[in-house]
Formats: sequence, structure tokens, C-alpha cells
Amino acid sequence: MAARRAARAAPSVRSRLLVVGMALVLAWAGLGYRLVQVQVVRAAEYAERGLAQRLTRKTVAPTRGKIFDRNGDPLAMTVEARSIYAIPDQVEDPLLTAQEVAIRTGGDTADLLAALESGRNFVYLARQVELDVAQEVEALDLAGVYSHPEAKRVYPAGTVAAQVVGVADIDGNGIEGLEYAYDSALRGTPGELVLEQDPAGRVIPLAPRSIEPAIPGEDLVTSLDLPLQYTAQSTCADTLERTGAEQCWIVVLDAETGEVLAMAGAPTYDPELRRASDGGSFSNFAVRDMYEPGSTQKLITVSAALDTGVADLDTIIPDVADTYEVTPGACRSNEDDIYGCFRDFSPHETRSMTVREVFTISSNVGTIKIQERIPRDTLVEYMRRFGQGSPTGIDYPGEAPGAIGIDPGCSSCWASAAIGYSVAVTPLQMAAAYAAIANDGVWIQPHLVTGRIDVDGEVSTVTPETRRVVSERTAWVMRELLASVVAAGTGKAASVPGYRVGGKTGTADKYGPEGYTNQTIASFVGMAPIDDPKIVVAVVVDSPAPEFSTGGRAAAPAFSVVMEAALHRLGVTPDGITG
Amino acid sequence: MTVKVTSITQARTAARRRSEAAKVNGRAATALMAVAAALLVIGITATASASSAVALADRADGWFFLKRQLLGAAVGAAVLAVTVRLDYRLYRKLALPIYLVAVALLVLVLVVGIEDGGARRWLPLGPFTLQVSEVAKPAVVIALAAVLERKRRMLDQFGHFLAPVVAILGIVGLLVMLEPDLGTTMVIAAAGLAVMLASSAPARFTAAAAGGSLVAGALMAVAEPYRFARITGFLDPWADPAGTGYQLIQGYLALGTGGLFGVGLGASRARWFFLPNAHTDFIFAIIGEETGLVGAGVVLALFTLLTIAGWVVAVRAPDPFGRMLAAGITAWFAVQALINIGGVLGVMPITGITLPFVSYGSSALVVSMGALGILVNVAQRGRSAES
Repeated sequence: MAARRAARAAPSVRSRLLVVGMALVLAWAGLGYRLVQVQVVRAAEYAERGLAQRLTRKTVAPTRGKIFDRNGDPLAMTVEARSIYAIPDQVEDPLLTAQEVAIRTGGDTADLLAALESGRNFVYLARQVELDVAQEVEALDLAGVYSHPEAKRVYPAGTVAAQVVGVADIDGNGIEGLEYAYDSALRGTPGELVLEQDPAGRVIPLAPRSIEPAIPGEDLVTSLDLPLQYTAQSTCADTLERTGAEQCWIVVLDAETGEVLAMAGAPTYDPELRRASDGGSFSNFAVRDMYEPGSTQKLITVSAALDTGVADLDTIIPDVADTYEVTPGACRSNEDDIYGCFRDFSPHETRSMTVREVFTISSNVGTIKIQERIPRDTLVEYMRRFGQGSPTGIDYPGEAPGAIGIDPGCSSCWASAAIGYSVAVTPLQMAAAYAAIANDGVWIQPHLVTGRIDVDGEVSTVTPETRRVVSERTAWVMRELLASVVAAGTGKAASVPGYRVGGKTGTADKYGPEGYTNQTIASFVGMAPIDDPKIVVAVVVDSPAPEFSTGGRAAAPAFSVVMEAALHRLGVTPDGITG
Repeated sequence: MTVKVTSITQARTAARRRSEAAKVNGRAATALMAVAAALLVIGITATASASSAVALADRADGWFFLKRQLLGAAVGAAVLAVTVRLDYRLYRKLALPIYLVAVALLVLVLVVGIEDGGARRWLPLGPFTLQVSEVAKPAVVIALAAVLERKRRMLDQFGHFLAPVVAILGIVGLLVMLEPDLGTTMVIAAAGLAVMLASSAPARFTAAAAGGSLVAGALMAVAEPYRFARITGFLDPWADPAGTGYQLIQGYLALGTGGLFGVGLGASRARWFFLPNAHTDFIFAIIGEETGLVGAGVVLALFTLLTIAGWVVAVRAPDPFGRMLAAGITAWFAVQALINIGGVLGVMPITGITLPFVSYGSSALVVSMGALGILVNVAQRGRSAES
């Protein structure tokens, strides 16, 4: 009963319990208010911060575009490979590891051991090895040795066209040649993988992720013809061997389109090893190296004379001696001549010659006499029209512009320029100048890439720049002259069985660091078939042995081989009588 | 019968009142059971999600904690089935043994307990562990209620009130602080104060005890620099987002990510090692993240309901002992939940205590369910009539 009374007699207890109870309920209401603040009012801010700490973006590497020759044969492509790397801290037996990996990857044990003991946290043991090699290494289960996929750039044609195609470095950046010139197109656009990860960098499963796929790089279709490129390159190599020259360059152009069918240099390099052979270079000197052309320049001088009408094919140039002094008293003896004395290659009686004869026997004196009929500025203008003194604009990096070195105060410079001195050209510029004659007087910008194919298969093509240089008639007459050089002049060795070939020899004293040397740059530039030329070939041989010092001896035979191959490759109908 | 039946009308009125009272009692009991069941289901679901990443990493079994929690729920249900049926008046006689066992366990844990994170809170029990401070909670409530009930006639003297209160709360509080575990000490103090409040002692005595507890708590907080830093860290978590503010901020980010409707069950990001103790003291953040304001609001509503129902049971208890038991147990649940959720929401210091019925922890679950059974038992025996 007492307990009951106590219970009943507890109105004060009850009321204070009610007060505290209400306080507790109020506390819950307060938390409710706070919850709304956190989950509604500030939710966006918190959610964003939360996402920011989880979100990570990973770059998806695009596949680099391929480079093809004109027939669709690959010159450069990217293949799957794996790179083997080590975390040296985890490696248990460095020597054994180095040996095992070296055996399988063809690496050097000492190098690998040095890498493993270099104290770095991460070292590559072999980069971009074939998949089965990587698998073999993985199967060894060496502690601390791993591999990851890494695409490898390969050059199926090897050294053939290496200097044109260029090379990408081990990380896939184009560093030379077309690989460099078209790097941004070949490279493609990286994709992006967006995902959420935990603080340790592990991917959170089920969290939404988005992937923006990488867009592969564009493929390039070049105008190169791989078999012809091979012929040009081997011919260059043969020429080096035959003439003892230091370097050789050959450029083959499609006369009507300006497309480069072959562009070769020797010696060259191996693009996959990224290593040059002895004396070879990554560089493409057919585009980058300048030389004084010598007699091949006479094409421009005589063209200018014919085109301006100051002379014609049968115009007689009187009193052509075998020496000519622009500066009186310049000619002393072969060894002591000073600037201003010009001599023909071989001594001859002083006689009158037609323009045709001057060109065919390549008389320097006769050419200078023709030049003297042309206003000086006009000659320079024609040189410029033929593309001298400025780059052709070919789609190849680092092109040399050439130079017209006529100093206004130099009285002998125009004479000098008329026969191919005081002017510097690249082999490509010279080929393009001759192609203008081949193409009925219209110069076409030479180019290497004829089309780009994007990921959707869309092809974009290039339209090369063109300009008229001389009249159609002048071009026709000049081709006749070029034909007679091969038929009866200095370029007989350039002939091709079955075709009428025209061309011009060039033999220039090589200019060295200390002035002119007794070495020569021997060249031959020509075209065929002469009535409607399809192909222009320029061969330049640097420093052949004395017995091969002329264009006719050093370059013309190589021209003949390459031109014949080119005519056959393009299926050009023979137009001449075999002889 | 204390009601004199003078007429048939009065008899009818009395009968109606009794039946209404019985209905209210039954409703309170049902509400308590239903709320606890709902919290348990939410808790097990949240534990499954919140603990899976940690479980997979630490125990190589994504369901490790879930399995343990389910086992705890099963044992808890068995204990509940017993306590619901056991007349709560029995605890008056059992109060001392229960209290002594609890104190013995609290001493034992300091000697042979498993140390984790600088605290000894768990006794090894075969493949399981026992968090002994959980046992201390009901032990203190029962002991204090029994003593204050026995001394009810002398409670108007402060000395008679203070001596048992200091002895019972002081010993347990000291032992728990030696583990150390400030949060649990606070919950035990709150439960003890509720018992005092429900006793017949004058309110000013309870107020004095509350004031004393606050001073003691403040002293303990200031005594340990790490504790002080942790306690004040909640005021400006962004001052040290990678240190003292880290857990709180990660909780905010989880709740904010959840927004109104949540990211979906099992889709929590915070559990992927961003939010420490996601399945224990910060499980509320995971619930808020996965089910949004809606789910978190439901949890708040359930605890409010639990508080109200428990308090109604206390007010309506048939005797002072029952009232004190009900008030003590309800305050324990309510204050522990308030401190836990208040910590997650950044309005209170983070003390590391768990959310009753929801957080992972099988000792806590078994003990809480047992205490719930006592509360329900009091409810069922609530006043049948009133004059």
C-alpha cells in the first residue's frame, strides 16, 4: 500500500519527468533541424567535396596512326607490346633477376643489374618487348618484376624510307621526318576514364564511371612507292660503293602531280633501333642539305633566255672560247685563277656555237654569253620562279630554303649564277625545277602525304600549290635540249633502254669551310619520256673519287637505274627505240 | 481496490478507465517493440553495407560483421524473450549481485582486457568479445533504482541520497574511465540521473548530482589533451580536416552525398575507407548517405518515438522502482542515441559511443535488447487505473 501511495503521491515526480521528457524530445527535434541543415541546405557542397576526393581521371592513350606507302604497304605502325619493369626494393636476388630477364629480352645483364642496384624506386628492364617474351618473363615469377602494356612503334620497311618516314621516340612522340611533321594528326586524341577510387587508389566497385574513348590518330597515305624507294636507296648505296662518294641523294617526282615517289639517302639508319649506321643520319638531306648545283642550273639560265626571247634554240653565240674573264686578268692558270675567270670543262678552239650546242656540251663560257643577253633582274626572277631561294613547302620538317647569293657589288656573280654557282639548292628544289619543265612549264609543289584517313575512314587530300614558270613552248624546247644531252652530250650514261630520256649533268666544285675544295658535287637531273614526261629523277653524289668526279660519271648511271625502275613501276609506255 | 464502487455508473466508468489504461499500456509496449525492431532491421542492413569493405579487407569475408551482428540479434532476442516475461520487481532482489558482477567484469577488463586503440574495453570470450561497460549500464540503473527505492523514506536528507548515488555511480564511472571510455561514462551518468529524477528525492538533489557530474566530466575532459582536442575538434572540423576534423568531415560528406533520397542501399562511398568506424559510431552517416534525409529522418523519428514511449512507461509505472527502471533505461537509450547522432551531426563532441540497436556491436545489442525487455515488462504492468 505504501508503494502505491508513493506512486500516487508523485505528481511532482511526474511533472518533472514530463519536463525532462519534453526536453529530450526537443533535443531530438533539434537534431532533426541540424540533419536538414547537413543533408539539404549544405548537401550540394558536401556532395561535391565528397565526389572531389573520390573522382579520378585517367588518360586513355590513343593509338598512333599508321603511315602507308602509295600501295597501302605500311611504313610505320603501332603494335601491342609490354614493358618489363622492376621495383628494386622488392627484388630478392638482383643478379639472378638481371640474368633471367636479360636472357629472355636480349638485354645486357650488367646494364640490368646496374639498373636494379641504382637505388631508384622504379626501373625499366626492357621496354616494348613482344607479348610472348613478356609472358615468359612473367612466368618466372621473379619477385619485384612486373610488366605493363605499352604500344610499340614499328617500321616494317626497316631502313627503306627511314629518313622520310622519320621516327617516333620510345614514348611515341614523333621526333623526325613525317612522324614529326604530322605528329599532331598521327597522335590522335587521348580519351579519358573517369572513375571513383578509395583513399588507397583502389577503384570503388559499382560507382558510376564514364569513359570517353581515345580517338586514334589519323593514318597517312604517302606518295612513296616502296619498291621504287627500295631501288632508289639501294642504287644510292651502290653508288657510294662504286664511286667512293661520301653521300648520295635521290629524289623521284611524279612530274604531273608533284608527288614524291621516292626520296632516298645513303647512308641511312635503322628506325627501330633508332641508331644510325656509320656516317648515316636521321636527317633527310634531300630536303635539308644545300649545294651549288653547277651545270644543272643552266636549264634555268637557258629557259630564261628562251622564254624572254633574247635567244632561241638555233641562235648563234659567236666567239665561244674555252675561258672567259668577267673581271679582266682573272684567268691566270688552272690553279691560280681568281674570281671572275670562267673556264669550260675541256679546252677547245674558239668558235661560234648554237644555243643547242652550248647546252649539249655544257659550255660555261657559252652559257655566260647567253646570260649576258638577259637583263640581270630578269635572270634572278626566273631563278625565283623555278623555286630557288625559297623552300618548296614540302610537308617535311626542317626544309632548307636554298639561297641566291648574288651580291649587288659582285660583278661576276650573275655569270657565276648562270652556271650554277652563287646559288645554293636542295636536291628536292632542283628536282622540282626540272619537274616544271617536264610539266609544260608549270611548277608544282612537291609533297609526300597524299591523303589522311581519320578514324571514320574519311579521307582528306591535299591540293599542291602550282604556278606557271615558263611558257609551254619554252618547256617543250628545253625538253628537246635535255634529250640531246642524253642522246649526244654529257649525259649518255643516263639513257634508259626503250625510252627517250632528257636530263642535264652537273659538276660543281664542293665548297668547304675553307673555300672551294678539289672535291665535287656530281649530279644528274632528268625526266622521261621526254615528249610527255611522267617522272623526274634527281641524283646528287657528294664527293665521288676523282675518276667519277663528273655528273655524267657519278650520277647519270644511278639516274638510269632509278628512272628505268620508276618507268616500269608506273607502267609508262616506252616511246623510244632501243639503243 | 483503492477505488470505492458506489454505483454501477461509477463501476462502469472505472472499468472503462481500466480498459483504456490497459490499452495505453499495451500500446506503449507494442510501440517499444516495434520501434526497436525497426531500428534493429535498419541497423543490420546498414551494418551489412557499412562494414563490408572493412570486413573484406581485414577479415577476408565481406559478411564477417553482419554474421556477428545477426548472431548478436538472435542471442538478444532470446534474452529479450526472458526479460519481457520476468517480473521487473525481481531485479530489486537481484540488484546487488548484478551490480557486483558488473563491477567484477569492469575490474577484470582492466587486467586481461583486449587493448585496441589505446583502450581496454573488451574481454575475450572464446571467438567473441564482451564489451563489459555495456553490462554496467543496466547494472547501474537497477542498483540505483533498488537503493533509492529502499531508502525512499530518507531521501529528503541529502546525505542519504548522496551516499548510495556516489558509491554506485562513482565506482562504475571510475572503472569505465580507467578503460578509458568517456562516452559510456556519460551515458551511465545520464541514466543514473534519470533514475534519481524518477525517485522521490527532491529535484534539487538530482540537480546537484547533475552539476557534480558535469564538473567531474569537464575535469576529465580537460585532464587529457587528446581528449580535449577531440572534444573541441567538432567546433571547427575544417581547421584540421585531415586530423581531428577528419571523421566528422567524412560524415558530413557522406550525409551530403545522400541528400534527400540517398544513393541507394549498398551504394555508400564513404564506407570505402573514407569514413572511419563506418559500421560502429558513424553508422548514422552511412544510413544518411544510402537512404538520404528520408532514411535518416526515419531513424530520428524512431528514436523520438522510443524516447516518448519509454518516458510514458516511466510516468505510468505502477511503482517507484518500475518508474526508476523505465526512466533509467529510456534515458540510457535516448541520451546514447542523442550523443551518437549529435556527434555525427557536429553539434556534440564525438565520443565514440555507438547508436543503440543500430551500430555494429553484439554485446551492446544483447544488453540493449535485454534492457528493452525490462522496459516492456514495466510497460505491461503499468497503472491499470487512476482515482
